[in-house]
Amino acid sequence: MKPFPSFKRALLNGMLAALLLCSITHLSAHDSVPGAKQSQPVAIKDVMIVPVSGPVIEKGTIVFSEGKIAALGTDVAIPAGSKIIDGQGRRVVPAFIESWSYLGLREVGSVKATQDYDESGEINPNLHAHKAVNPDSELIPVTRANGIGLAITRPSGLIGGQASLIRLDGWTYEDMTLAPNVAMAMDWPQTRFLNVPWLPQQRRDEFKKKREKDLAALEAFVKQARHYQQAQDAAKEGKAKKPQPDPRLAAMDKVLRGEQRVWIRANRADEIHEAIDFCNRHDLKMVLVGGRQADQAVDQLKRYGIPVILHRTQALPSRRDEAYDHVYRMPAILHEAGVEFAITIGNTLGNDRNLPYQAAAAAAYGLDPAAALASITLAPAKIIGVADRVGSLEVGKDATLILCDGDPLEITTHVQAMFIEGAEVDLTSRHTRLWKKYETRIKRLNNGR
Amino acid sequence: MKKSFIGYWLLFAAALASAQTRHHARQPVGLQENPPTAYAVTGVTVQADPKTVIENAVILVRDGVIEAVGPAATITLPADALVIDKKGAFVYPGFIDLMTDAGKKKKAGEGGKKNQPAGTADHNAENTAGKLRADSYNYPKKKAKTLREAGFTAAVFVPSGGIFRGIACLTLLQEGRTNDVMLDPEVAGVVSFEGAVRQAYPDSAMGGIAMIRQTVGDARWYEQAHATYQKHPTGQTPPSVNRDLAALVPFAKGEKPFLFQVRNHHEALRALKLSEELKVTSWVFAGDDAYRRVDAFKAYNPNLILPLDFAEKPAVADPAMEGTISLRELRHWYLSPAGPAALAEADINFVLTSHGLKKSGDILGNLRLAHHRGLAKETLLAALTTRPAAWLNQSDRMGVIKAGAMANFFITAGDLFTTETTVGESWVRGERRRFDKGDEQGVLGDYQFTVAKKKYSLTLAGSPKKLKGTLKRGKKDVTTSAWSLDKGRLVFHINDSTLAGEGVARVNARVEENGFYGQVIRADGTRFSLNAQRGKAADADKPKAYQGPKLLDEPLATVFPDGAFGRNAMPEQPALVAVTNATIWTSGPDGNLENATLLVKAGKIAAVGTDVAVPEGALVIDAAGKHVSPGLIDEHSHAGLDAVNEWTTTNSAEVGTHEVINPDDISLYYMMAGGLTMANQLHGSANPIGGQNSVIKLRWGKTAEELRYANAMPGIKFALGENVKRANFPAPDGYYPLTRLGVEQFFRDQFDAALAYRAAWQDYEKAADKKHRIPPRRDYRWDTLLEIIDGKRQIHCHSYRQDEILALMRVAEDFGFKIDVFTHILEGYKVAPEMAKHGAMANTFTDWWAFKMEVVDAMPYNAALMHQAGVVVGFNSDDDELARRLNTEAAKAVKYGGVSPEEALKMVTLNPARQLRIDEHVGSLEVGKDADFVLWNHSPLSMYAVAQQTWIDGTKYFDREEAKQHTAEAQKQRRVLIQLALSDKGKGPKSDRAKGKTRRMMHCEDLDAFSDGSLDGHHHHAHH
Repeated sequence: MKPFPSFKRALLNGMLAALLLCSITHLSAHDSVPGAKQSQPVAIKDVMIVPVSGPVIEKGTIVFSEGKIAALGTDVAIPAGSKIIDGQGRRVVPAFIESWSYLGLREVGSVKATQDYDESGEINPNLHAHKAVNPDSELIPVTRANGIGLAITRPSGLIGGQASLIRLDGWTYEDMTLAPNVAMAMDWPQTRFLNVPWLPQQRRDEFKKKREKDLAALEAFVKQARHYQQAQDAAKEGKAKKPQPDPRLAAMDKVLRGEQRVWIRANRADEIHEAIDFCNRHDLKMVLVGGRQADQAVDQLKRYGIPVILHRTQALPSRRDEAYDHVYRMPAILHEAGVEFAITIGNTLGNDRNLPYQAAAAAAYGLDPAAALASITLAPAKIIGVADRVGSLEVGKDATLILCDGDPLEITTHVQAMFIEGAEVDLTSRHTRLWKKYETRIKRLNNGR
Repeated sequence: MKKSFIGYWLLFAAALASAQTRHHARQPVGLQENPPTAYAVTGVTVQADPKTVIENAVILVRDGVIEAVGPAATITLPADALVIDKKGAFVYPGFIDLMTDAGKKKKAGEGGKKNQPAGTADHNAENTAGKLRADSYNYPKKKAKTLREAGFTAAVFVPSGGIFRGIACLTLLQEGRTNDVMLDPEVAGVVSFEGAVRQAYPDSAMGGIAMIRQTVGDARWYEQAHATYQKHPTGQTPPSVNRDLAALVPFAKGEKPFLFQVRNHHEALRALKLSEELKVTSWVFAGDDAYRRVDAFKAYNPNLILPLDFAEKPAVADPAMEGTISLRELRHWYLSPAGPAALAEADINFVLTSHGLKKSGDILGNLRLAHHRGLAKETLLAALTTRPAAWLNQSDRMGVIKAGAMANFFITAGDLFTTETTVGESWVRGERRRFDKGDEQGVLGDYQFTVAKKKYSLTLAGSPKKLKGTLKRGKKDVTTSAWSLDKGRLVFHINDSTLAGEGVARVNARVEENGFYGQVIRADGTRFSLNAQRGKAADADKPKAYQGPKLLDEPLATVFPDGAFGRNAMPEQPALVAVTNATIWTSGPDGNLENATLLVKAGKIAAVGTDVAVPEGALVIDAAGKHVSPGLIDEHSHAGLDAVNEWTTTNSAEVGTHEVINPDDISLYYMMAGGLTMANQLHGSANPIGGQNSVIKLRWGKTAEELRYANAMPGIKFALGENVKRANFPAPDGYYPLTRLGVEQFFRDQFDAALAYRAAWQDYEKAADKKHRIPPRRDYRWDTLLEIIDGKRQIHCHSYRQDEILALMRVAEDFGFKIDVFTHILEGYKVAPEMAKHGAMANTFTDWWAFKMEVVDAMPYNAALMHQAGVVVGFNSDDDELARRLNTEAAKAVKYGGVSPEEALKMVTLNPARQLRIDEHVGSLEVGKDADFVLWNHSPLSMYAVAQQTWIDGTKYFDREEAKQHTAEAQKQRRVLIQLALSDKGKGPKSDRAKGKTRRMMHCEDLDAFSDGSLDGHHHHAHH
């Protein structure tokens, strides 16, 4: 009935990429130089150490060398030749991990030419997210300035592709990739448009049909992949001819063997239960992402050992009848129920930097503050499967950490230094440079020059 | 009583003859046809009017008029009257439907390019005010049958599509020449808020309202202009001719009513407010949810049209829908049938319409349901008979059964309200029409006939579709087969030698009122006639007693707004409140006070300080360890609105969000729970000159009008950049502007035009022969721009890039006004010194960047830099979610650029108040100001802060502890209603009426809430 139902949709769909290419050239590289590989031991002394995996150490020292944590505690010998940083009572905390982003794969929302996360078709398990990460994305320095050192980046779709864990610093995507293909990323067909009053019935029916089609497609694809795997196995054992190439089906091999987990984004209770049943039916190892109504599936999540990556606590209730603080309280509810969970900010355009405040909001509404910090450090590291390297401050683990001047979850706290595997990272960004540039103008004018 | 059951042998000739009035100007073709018209209906219980019942009555009809009605003993049957004995039946005055239509509705977009207004029609295809529905009236056979089977004998047919839809007509539901059945071709001017033409103004509810205001004014001007010109043509340009404005004149002058065909109670209240403002009379369709705001309706003393089409049952049966059904929806299903009773209780004048219902059974069913849910029989009847007749100035001839009135009535076997009776006969102006009720149930029963002196008895049982006949000769069974009944034709076979001879006899008969008659073809081909008399009717013939659906043991309390978290009653304002031992962020000259007391008296701040004595009788809130801040204020919100953009015109200064406030929006509650007490509801950013704004206090539970803040300065939304130059979506052909260069020129052009308009008025006012001159036409758009020039209306300008910010300030300076507030203003930091010099203030946000090209240079130090340059800075949300945590948004000014905590908090309290020009009343905790404050468990700038209580005007509107209770109550009520809905076996009527839809969350770039939303409508902040 309208020429364009919403400006937003038009924004997403109607871009003339070629036309815009010329106007975005200045976005193609940011100016921050990646940190140099650690060449000498670093010791931060007189600092509050928050290891996450253990009790807080007041007035301690942490030493890291060759990218790994060498020692931490109140009684630590500083190796000769160390660079010594006076912590001045500030805090050392593991760098935060964002668990569900498009970092490196998306630059400007309205410019399709800057986007590489949404491939043609709904089923693309053979895509590998890290392969198109743009190390010069302006969003990366802005994100890490708030303490986020690592991020999962992923393609979208019913089966969007394989998600990778990247370091938010480096010259190339290979430099940046800490763990490729850590998960198969899936967006479960949504139910939220089944009965929205502002949609005409026809659109709701279309939506319903599309959803049924998607569910059937997923089911069929997984069965096919299982069959393909059988044929491949048979060929390996010399019992059959090698199957014809099919990269999509072939890419499901690890998932079907339980060696790669499927991360399924599902928010409403119905979606969550469907996804759990799907994984059980096909013997897949699942991680739930989103989980806005995960409280309605606590028994199943626990029974099947499914961890949850909760998407945004700073969000509105998903329906009118829910308590106004239901979303804020979700982490506390899961924590009390004993469900393993992490928190993600999830795909906010340019605002992955606000991840710590998602954890903080959970703490404001009842989550134990230590658990809140863990939800963006050690908890995601465990779910991703990299807890042996990152997520907490322990001897032998990566020196991927931040130094900050207060409670790391408070907005008013500043991240003053970040190390990724011992390399000190530049915390300036396009934002700080613009700040300094125009502060100069204002200062000059204020001084009458 | 013999049931009348077959509708197929209508006395068509007689029907058509009586449909003709004798008063016409036609000569007959061929011979005269004047069948007799005198009838006596006897033995009936007559509902003469809503209050009067006459038992064992007689109705005499002649020439389509009731000659007499009264108890049998008082009436002498005229010798020429055909007596129709309806012993035991009930007769009701024919119902009148005040808002009905039939046939194809005008579809959206039909008036597009192909269908441009022609001739002397108005230039805007949304104004077809002169279109007479009567001119396109053709007897709608199917619809008329449905209505007559539901008791209606006359109806007002409304034109469809558009804002000014045309003129409705009153017609009898009778086949015949339109000349003869039409009672009044010009009953009411039909208007709506919903445009029908694509890409044409208006395309939002607020645009619809503005257009009605302007057009009604235009009609009055049109009359004056032409009258003046007729008298004094010399030396004047003749005014243009416009048939639609001409047709509007009697309605614009209040001589005839407007019929507002709107969608729900929100729109109905807006229609009433507009009618009051324009001093026009109106009938307003109030939707199936008018019960939600009975008091608000009552205040207007309105004439409402209420639907019998109640809410559909939510899809509780499908478990997949569980997550999508709200308590509000469940309550609506339960409460809407009780709606008419609730309005009757308040003594509101309303009529009932069948609008939306497609089946007569559904109409009658819902009529009984309304009665079952408390609507008195007398009111119900009045709402369908005497009231519509009175509104239509037809009281002396319609809506009652009395001598002299038209013979419009209907007959039922049982009581209309207490049995599931159907309409057996419908009489319209003396034309009798009998119905078979859609099946042939009435055929069932016993019959007798005699063949060759032998008595036969026949019983028809089962159903007309699966007829089971049994035939007996005396007491002996006779073998039969192949029973069928179709449209009154009864066929069966007899395998019996006495009747058939050697083989099978076939019976072909027609069933009529008293039996059936027909032919039997024997096996040898010979025939004999059969005449069967009807005996006892089957039980199925008698209407069943009506039993309404199961009701809850306890009635559902009305809550404001309806649904979860609504209130039973408004919170009371204590005379004295003292918040003690608090850390008070005053946002005023006193700064932050430790261990302080805030004293509130009758809604205003009486004292604040560390040495305030707590008076006796004060309600004391011990806030030890807690923080108190002023209520937060959002300068840029689209919450609580049913429309955001009137995007169809580059200047929509005449529209306003204050006309489309939706106080039921749950976001208002969420925001209030987050410490927000005021919001500036802005028009969107689709056009350079947007619409007028509305400043509200979040008094959750109150009506739209009660939310509005009286002290607010009038404002308007402007917009710059990618949205207005249609950078990211297609622009219509010839759209202007497509560049920032064009935007700048457009502003200049519009203000020049406004000044020219002023000059024209000044010339007119000064003219010596003023009375002889055609006055200028009042134009609300130019009036609004003049208010800006005169400094009486402030600007909130959506802006990103520095060049456009600078250019607009220069335009304003050239015309002698100021841009008060740049909103969003993401590159404000680049031109902050120029802004400070101009006197512009800035309201920004921290995290919206990277989503489109014009925000690529947006960065979070913006607020601090503008503050540093001396600009008054605030933070806005433009988002219902962000709006509930503006306190921590303020903390970002501390983080990014080092603004002090006290100054940072001002960015969401005092500074937005200054920007809205209401800082004299709100924005800080200072003596004399409104007691709008928030009690926090931590510093309001901390991520751990949770609002514990929110107070507005010294009244507690939110309490975290109470909220927990409300959640539990909502969950409980939800469970009860779902179980009730599951136990309700009835499917309920299918409606074809577009129900009032609720809004989705809207941002700057969204269109009307009623538009076909896109599937990404709820995405969190894709774009601004």
